[in-house]
Amino acid sequence: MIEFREVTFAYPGARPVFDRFNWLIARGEAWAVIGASGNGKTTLLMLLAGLRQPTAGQIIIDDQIIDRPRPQTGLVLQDYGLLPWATVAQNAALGLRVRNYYGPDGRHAPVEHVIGPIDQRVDPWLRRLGIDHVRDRFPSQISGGQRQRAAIARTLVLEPDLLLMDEPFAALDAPTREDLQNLTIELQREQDLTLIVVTHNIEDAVFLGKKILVLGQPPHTTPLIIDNPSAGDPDYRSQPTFFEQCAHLRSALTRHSSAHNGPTSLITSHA
Amino acid sequence: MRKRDVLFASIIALIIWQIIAMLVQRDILPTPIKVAEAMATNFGDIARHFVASALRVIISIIIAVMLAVPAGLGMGQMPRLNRMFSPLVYIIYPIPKIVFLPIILLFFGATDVSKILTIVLILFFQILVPVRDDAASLRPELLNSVKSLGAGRRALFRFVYLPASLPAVLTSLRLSVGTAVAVLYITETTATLLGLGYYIFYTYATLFDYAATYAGAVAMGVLGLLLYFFIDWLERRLCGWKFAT
Repeated sequence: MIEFREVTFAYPGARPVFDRFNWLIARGEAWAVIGASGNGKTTLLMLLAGLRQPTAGQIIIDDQIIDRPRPQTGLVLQDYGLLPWATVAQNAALGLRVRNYYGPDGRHAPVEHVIGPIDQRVDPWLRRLGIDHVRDRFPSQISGGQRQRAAIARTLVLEPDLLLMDEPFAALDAPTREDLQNLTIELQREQDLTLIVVTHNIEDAVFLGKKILVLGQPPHTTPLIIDNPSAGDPDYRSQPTFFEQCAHLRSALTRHSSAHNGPTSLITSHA
Repeated sequence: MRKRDVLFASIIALIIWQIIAMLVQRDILPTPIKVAEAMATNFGDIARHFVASALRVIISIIIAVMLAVPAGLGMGQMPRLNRMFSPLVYIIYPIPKIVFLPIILLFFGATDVSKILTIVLILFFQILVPVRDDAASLRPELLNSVKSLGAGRRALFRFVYLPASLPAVLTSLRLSVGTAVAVLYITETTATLLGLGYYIFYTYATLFDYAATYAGAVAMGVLGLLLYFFIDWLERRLCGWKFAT
């Protein structure tokens, strides 16, 4: 269970992005967070990841107040965050190496972390994500889709229970995007992950999020949530309900943004 | 650079040298063959001086790297530290450090310490500045993604800042190894009886054995070239990702 309890967050010298914001996420749910650029989507993810702290209020994950990155939370960023000097296999192993470096201290690595051979834990994920054949290549030598797979592998190697993704498919071509969306949903179900995907793409949000949090113009006070129960079904993209839901989300976004008299810049892609 | 190209360039240089020496016909420009003979005759002597010089410059490089890399990384990732020391670096960086040699000699005397210190002083700033700039320019997204894997300051240093600074360290070393050897020569012409600088100066100013002087100069060139090749090799080995296509 994740709870935003009266969370306020403001960058120094700026108006609050979140103002006494409350939000509840149940374990194993798949969420999409949508909003125009600059509306606080990434800030929300950074708060969840423990990389930024609320100015007031609390973020609680499984009864634990988040004031630093939590070992069981995985984060995949828009630009993949891979080390350019490390190969795909080395990048995928990075989290484990960091954990082995500190040992099971409960802060940097879970107390139940067992220091052991890294390859045995990394290799199955490289195979599962179909990037085993590029394991010795550097990020600059592989495609955007493969880089994103490497970033996902690096996160899943650490067996997270919460996966946060920031615009994970933004830089990908349409077939790769769909392929990775399907894979993300598959993995979310297989690993029983709580998934929160931040996007500014309406189709991404409707396909991935069983619940969609709409962020209009900040400051955000009350969450606007759209239920989307059919999300995640590979055939959903070609069904009329998908397009209806996209239209519904679009109008909700427009309403929510114009209610704050703010501009919107959202993308609709026809993959 | 391919080995074959280096060999080819060396042969061309030797041929040009031979032709000019034959045209000039003076003692102060011996032919490469005469220099090779002098090198063979004085091999033991030159090798002894070569080892002394090589040790000085290698120790200097190691000390400079060990001091400049942590300092550069610290300044690069801690803006407050950078604000404090940057003005000092800015003032000292452009000063030709060789001018400090007499002062260093006054403090440390005719010892290896003063020679090594002079070279360290030069290399330190050459490495510090690019390492600091590289560490400061690391993208926050990269740092955030590694932090999200559980990395604190120590792990960031080990897994991000240190490997990220390697290319800057090796490139600045490769660029400054020539300066280091030049400074080594100057430091060795005073207050020592060991080192290629001394050997070159002694054979030229006291013995008037110009072929031996040239042999010493060639040995010094070889020292610089070997160091350059070694750093080049290290760069390709440790920073393979930069050359990956």
